[in-house]
Amino acid sequence: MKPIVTTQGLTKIYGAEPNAVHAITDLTLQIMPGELFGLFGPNGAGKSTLVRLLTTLLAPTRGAAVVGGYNIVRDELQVRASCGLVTSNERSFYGRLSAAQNLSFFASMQNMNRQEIPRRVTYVLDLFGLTAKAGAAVQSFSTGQRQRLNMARALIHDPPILFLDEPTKSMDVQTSDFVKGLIKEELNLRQGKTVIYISHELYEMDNFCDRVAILVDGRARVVGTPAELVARLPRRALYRIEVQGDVASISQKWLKIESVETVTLVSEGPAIAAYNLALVDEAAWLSVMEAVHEYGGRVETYRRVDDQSLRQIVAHFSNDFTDSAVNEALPGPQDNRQLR
Amino acid sequence: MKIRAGKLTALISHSFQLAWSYKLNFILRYLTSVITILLYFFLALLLQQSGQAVIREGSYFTFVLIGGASLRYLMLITQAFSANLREEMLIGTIEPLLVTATPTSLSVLGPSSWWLIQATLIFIGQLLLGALVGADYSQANWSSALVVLLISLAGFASYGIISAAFTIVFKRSDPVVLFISSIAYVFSGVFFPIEIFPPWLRIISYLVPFTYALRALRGALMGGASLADMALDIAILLGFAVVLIPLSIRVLSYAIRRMKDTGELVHY
Repeated sequence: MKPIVTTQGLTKIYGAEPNAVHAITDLTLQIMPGELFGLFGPNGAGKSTLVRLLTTLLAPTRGAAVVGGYNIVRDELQVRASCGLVTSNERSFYGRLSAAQNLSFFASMQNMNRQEIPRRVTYVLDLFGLTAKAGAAVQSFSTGQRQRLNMARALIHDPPILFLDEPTKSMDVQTSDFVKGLIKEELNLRQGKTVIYISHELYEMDNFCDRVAILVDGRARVVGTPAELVARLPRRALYRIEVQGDVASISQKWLKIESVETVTLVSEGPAIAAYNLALVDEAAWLSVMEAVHEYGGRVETYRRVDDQSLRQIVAHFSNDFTDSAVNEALPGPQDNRQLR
Repeated sequence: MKIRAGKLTALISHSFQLAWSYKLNFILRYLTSVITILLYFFLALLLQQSGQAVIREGSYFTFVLIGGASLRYLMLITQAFSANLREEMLIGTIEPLLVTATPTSLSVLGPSSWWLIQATLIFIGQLLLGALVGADYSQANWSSALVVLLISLAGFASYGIISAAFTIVFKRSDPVVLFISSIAYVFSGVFFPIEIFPPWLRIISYLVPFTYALRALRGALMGGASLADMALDIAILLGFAVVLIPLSIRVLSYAIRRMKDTGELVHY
């Protein structure tokens, strides 16, 4: 099977040196037909720039990309006919016109047959639960309704590829779940559409995407299924431990244990201190406990806090594991001091 | 560029729907045009009472009505593209438009189509309403006037396209419209014949295409001039069109390329 989206050395640089911004750097990627592909990365990672390149809104500085079998530079119109784009800007409608009028207009711009437009408008409005609002001016819509209309517009010409750039950003949890269910079950699994789903929210990716690419500073740090990415993580156990006693000596002792990778002070009270410990070898936990007893201390609480979620994966592949991911994974103060 | 008839109809119908959705604005636009006719009428009446309302071309009222209506037409056409584009950028509809299977230039200019039609309707309406209060078209050569109008429209639209390109690049209300209309307002003989200028100042008039459009239009409507009678003016207008149309297309292409490089069109 041939990929439906391919990029080869794709590069986008805004402006000129020395002030140039390298938004996408030498990106090579393949997305297969029918995949639900997640593009994840922190703000400014280049996710939206990549989507705008692939939908022809931007011209690449270097490299090439093929979407739906068409080159994004040479075959702009065919690329646009092959894909639908949803951005998080839910304002992008003619507010005084009705939902149906808005959709009909965009359908015409997508070269749809005039006779077919009313049927398709009815279908997409129904799909997103907006049938009752078909004749209402869009300016009367709530933010969530507008975002659903945004999705309906992207689907109006029944494209095989959907680019969804944070489509659930302005939605409440219930609507967001409904839309994500629709994307996965109806559009991806039943209709076989290829979905490129962009988000910076990790929970949106877990158990949702077939494969994930993690973009950092315009580069794809890693691409694979969530399970593959988990397998690539170094084996490391993370513990949150609260101890009483001579915590300074205890923590120094922990640092001397070979398999303790990091010791991070999370909070320190008059009688108790909380630490995060990263262990390269789980067996080192025994030595950790022994060190507490050696200095007459007492373990108040301890628990395993690492999870093999995408949050950890992303943090790891962003070279930001100990500072960011652990602190995000763990509840507690954020002004931690890492001892090693 | 191959434009499907259905798409053109959809663009016109859509921009009409949008214009009509602001009903008061829609009605006032036409009402303003009627009121302007009254201004010209009373201006002419004033001159008539001082015994100066007849000029070489015929009645001053007809003269100033054609001049004023044409100037308004020029301004509306020149503004149409950039004003509409700014509106699309502000409300955020330009991005979804640019990802449709429509050529970028048509996505940028097409939604203004109703404004071009409306400008033409207002222009013709002003001329016809003027006849009700004394404009004299008894000798008019309507077919010559139509040809002049079409050639002039090509030139006016070129200014509009350059103005739209300016909006894409600078994302500002562009000075092109203001500059062109100011020059035309003073130097093209809208309210008085250019012959009253000293010869050195008249040079500016001769550099402005609108001067020839006005002279030809008045010749056809007031003096019944045929195309042969206006051959020089038409040739000059065609010359300007031949230069301005490709120039405006090049300028727009540059603006679109720049927009795709910077990605700034969607951020107003």
